[in-house]
Amino acid sequence: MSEEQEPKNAESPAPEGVASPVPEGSGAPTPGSAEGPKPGSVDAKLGVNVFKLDQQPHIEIDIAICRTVCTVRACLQVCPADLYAVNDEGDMTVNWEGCLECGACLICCDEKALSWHYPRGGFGVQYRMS
Amino acid sequence: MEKVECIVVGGGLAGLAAAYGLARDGVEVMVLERGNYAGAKNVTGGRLYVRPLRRIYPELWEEAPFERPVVRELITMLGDGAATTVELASERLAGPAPQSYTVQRARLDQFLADKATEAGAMIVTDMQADELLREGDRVIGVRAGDDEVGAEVTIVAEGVLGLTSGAAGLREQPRAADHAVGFKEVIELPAGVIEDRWRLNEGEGAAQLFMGEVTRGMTGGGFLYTNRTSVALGCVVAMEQLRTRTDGLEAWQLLDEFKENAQIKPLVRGGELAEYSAHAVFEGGMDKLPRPYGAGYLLAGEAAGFALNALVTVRGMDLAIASGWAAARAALAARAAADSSAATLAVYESFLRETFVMRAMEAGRGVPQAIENRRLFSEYPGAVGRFLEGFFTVDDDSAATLLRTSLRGARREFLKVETLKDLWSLRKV
Repeated sequence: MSEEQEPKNAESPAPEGVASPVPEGSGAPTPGSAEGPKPGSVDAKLGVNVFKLDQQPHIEIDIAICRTVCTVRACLQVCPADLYAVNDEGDMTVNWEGCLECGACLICCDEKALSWHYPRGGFGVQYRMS
Repeated sequence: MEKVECIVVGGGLAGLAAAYGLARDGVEVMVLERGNYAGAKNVTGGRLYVRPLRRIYPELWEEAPFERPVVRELITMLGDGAATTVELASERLAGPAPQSYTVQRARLDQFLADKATEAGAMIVTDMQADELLREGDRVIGVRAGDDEVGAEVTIVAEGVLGLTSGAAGLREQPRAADHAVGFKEVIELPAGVIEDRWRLNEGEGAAQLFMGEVTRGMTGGGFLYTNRTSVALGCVVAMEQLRTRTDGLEAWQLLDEFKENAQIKPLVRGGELAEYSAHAVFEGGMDKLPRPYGAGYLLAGEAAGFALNALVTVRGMDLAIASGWAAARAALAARAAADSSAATLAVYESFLRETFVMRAMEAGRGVPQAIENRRLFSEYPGAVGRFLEGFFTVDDDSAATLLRTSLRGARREFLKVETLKDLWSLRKV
């Protein structure tokens, strides 16, 4: 056993809230989508990770670009956490809370529709093993 | 503006190796790490090649918190319903000074952070460098939130995305054609179960790479590394090939398929998922490297493009540590000369050559072109299986001798101009 193995989500400080971005049993809180958890999706995998959630998103989408310029929607394919989705209005959304911070979406978005930063210092995913 | 001698952006292996080397020689060095602790943002597939590092910081590797020494290497080709595994167990992989170990970054990076701290480095966690401060061409420090800190030399070890160095124009923005995306599950299993499944003695480890169906023919593959009480199971796939698919395949589905593969399922049976992580991997090779130094700064680790996927060996962490060591030497040279101009810091390149970093990158120069060939991942893994199946198949063709079977199989599967050309293209890997 590695010495820093703690109970899952153990660091939970009240104000910031260490939490899974996926509330148990409710599925991914995908903005603008009423879908429940997708079978075989990564929701359950993200649920075991430790995240320190910030109030402000670290990924913002210029949905006008996605709507008018982008034809390939690479973000939907390359995100290993499956965070991108198209909502009922046809706009691209990102469930940034579950971000693994790999940057694949940033690298693959040729249209520069993403304003992508790492979460502020101290926030975002905190890997306990990887 | 507050000032220190050296600032290191990023407390991963490259940054910590640099900080350790600097602090040990009495340099005032501050590491900015955005995670809650060193290693909180870092992802490896799973294996560190320690052998090339034994001459660099030899005192560290005896007590480093490795998982298991890799004494068994397996490569499995999956395709056309068949799995062919090449397996090597060798006492030269293990012995008293094993070549490689499986690792977990949260443990390894914190160990190195502790060593750097003991040596006198200041490691500031929960602190992100937002911007490199510049004065003309010279990097003079960093901005972190509302704070600015100046430094004679800034060592940028911020990882593969190179957000601050890219924004400052010190390197190009990463391109999909030069990168792969890797993602893995850490699956907990009892030590005894791991040792039984991979036929290991107590404490020993295995590394298993997979080619073929795992990536549905795209450049990349699967991997499995045995930790002490978990295995890391994941996939790596070329971003450009993934994003230009027209069937809507999503990256994460590859790993779910992989786990369901009849060859993999029994390996992780009964295991419990403990973590899911992802990382972009630079695969652009030697020809796409940025110049790793300039006035007031050095690039180290993946921020400098030091990563090498040579199909059978996948390296990054050893290059990161060695480049961190070289960056510390270069910064010390600048300190001795009281000059951190680009001309002085250019000595970094000779230190990089002195270690194995540049030799490894040069040796791998031809790899990016070679592995772009999709037949390596789509056709050959299945062809190897079909070829071997010929020997094990019993049917009414009683005239088939081993020789005839092999000639017929070889002609059918491999004796094509295209195949021979592909084989030739692999000479540089």
